[in-house]
Amino acid sequence: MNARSNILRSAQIAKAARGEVSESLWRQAARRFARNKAAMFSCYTLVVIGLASIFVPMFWPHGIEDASWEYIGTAPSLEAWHWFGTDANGRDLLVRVFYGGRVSLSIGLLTTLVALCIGVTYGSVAGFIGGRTDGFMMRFVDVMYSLPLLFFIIILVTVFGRNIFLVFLAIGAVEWLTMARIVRGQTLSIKNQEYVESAEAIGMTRPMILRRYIVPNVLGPVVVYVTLLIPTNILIESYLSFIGLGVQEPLTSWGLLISQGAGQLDSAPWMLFFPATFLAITMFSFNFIGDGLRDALDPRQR
Amino acid sequence: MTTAILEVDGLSVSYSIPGDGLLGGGMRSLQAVNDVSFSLQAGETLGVVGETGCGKSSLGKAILQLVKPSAGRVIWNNRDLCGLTRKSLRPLRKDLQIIFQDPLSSLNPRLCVGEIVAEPLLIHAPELSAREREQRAIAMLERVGLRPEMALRYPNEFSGGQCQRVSIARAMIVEPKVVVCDEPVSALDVSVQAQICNLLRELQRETGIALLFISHDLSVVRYMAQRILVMYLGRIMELAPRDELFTKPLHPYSQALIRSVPVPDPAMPLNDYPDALSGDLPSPLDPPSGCVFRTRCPKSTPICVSQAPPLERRGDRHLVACHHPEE
Repeated sequence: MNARSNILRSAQIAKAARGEVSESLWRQAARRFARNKAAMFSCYTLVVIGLASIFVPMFWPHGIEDASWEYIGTAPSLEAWHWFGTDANGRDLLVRVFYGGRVSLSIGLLTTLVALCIGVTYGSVAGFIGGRTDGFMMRFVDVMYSLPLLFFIIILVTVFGRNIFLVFLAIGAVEWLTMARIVRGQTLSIKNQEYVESAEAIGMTRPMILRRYIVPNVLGPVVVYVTLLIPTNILIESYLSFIGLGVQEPLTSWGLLISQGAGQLDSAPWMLFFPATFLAITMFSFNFIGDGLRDALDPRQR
Repeated sequence: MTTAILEVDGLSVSYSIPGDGLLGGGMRSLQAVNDVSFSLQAGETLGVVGETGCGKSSLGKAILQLVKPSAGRVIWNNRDLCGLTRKSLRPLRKDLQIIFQDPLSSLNPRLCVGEIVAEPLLIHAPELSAREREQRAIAMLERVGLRPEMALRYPNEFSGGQCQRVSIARAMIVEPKVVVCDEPVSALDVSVQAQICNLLRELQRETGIALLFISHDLSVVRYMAQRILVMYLGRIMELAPRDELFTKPLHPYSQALIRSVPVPDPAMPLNDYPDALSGDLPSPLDPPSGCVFRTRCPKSTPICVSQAPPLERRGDRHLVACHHPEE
């Protein structure tokens, strides 16, 4: 009885009973996430890289297409603001790396957004309706799965020509399949959980069941998958650009820069080193965040 | 004591099962509960026993309309629950609650147990303030033997027995009249089973709830129930007061079940159950003709093949469905 006077706890339960459940749940997850040093460090790193990609090209003394005859293929030096050196055309590598970051990161985010929207809608509808509709919808996904990504993109490029938006579309259109499977599986398993039945038994309305029971339990794996999908998509873009199907000059991306750097490995190794480093750091960061989120959102795995 | 508060009349539940075929093929129907009728008295415990797959759980869920019955009526307060919509059913759910078998998976992992226990009040007592709801939830947790500070913990931090206490608290907080206990102790250790059984009996004594206690464990049912309903393949085989069933079972199936209860006597040789029931439960997709038990019944005769025995009264409160009940 004396414990009931514990105001802090009372306040939390009161809030929960008013229906502000998501807040306390997500806050708990946030607290767990904040304790994860690798994930938090990755967050800061990504913020720095993101901000640098946005602002450095705006204020740097060199533009991405400014070629300088005096500095062709110079190694990194503090002289004349070529901190990362220059490429074979005398263009400043630093501004190109950050500009490439803009392109790579936005492709990563946008394609993931496309995959997320299609995948979650498709998967939850299939899982929720179930039965034969589910069967048809998921067989379609299976068919799409069997189509190799590269093959699919080459067809798209040859039919519609090279276009950066086509790359968005192609990656998004392929990557939603896994998302749809994840969401469907989750919806199916949660729909049949006894706790959903217990919610029915106390007479809970369907929207309430969806809000308090289904969504919070589906969202965990989805959020985790999203953070793992972003680096995957950046990587796909990089390798499409590397083989010449993605971003075109004079626009640039990390993949394209790495491709050019790989060609000059003997004479100008910095051309490979800097874009590859940024790509690798970004990959690691997203993966650490994904792992951190998984641990934070699913207390049972601890 | 003898007023029936819940009347189940000819209740049947059937599920459609996808046939073979690539995309579902034809659907087949599985009759999980077949024409079950009984009444539940106020304050009594009615035990339901039978093998796995005999339709015990389906029966419990059908009474609460968690599974739509395919036929029959469930009369509660002069109203047939089967015809009601979700919305008109909602206020009645306050009186009829359920406790599930799996202690952990019947609790939402994303809510702390304080929220889980307070949740039914959101629906059935919206006039309460948040503070009152919280106080009631904590009082209920204390009532089922959990400490108040546990309210903030999540289900996965609890043992099976504690989770089951939370489930009981959640069911009891709306002060129901009938609680369906769907194998509430089957997943627990024996010592914890006893605690939970005692807790249910205490709560029953205090509040006068009626329990429909489903279990496959005869000794648990014997401890809990005043009357026992024996089910086989979705049908009632025998319905009798507890002592009568255990001392003088009439149906061959009940007799076999009672004989198969292990006797805790070390002097008794192992494997000494000569009359133990042999064979498996026939597929409910393709039940035997006539009496469903005839394929495993030692007394089966031609009439058992051709005719299903009706549930007949033998003695004061004793019903049995058999052509050759032991007198």
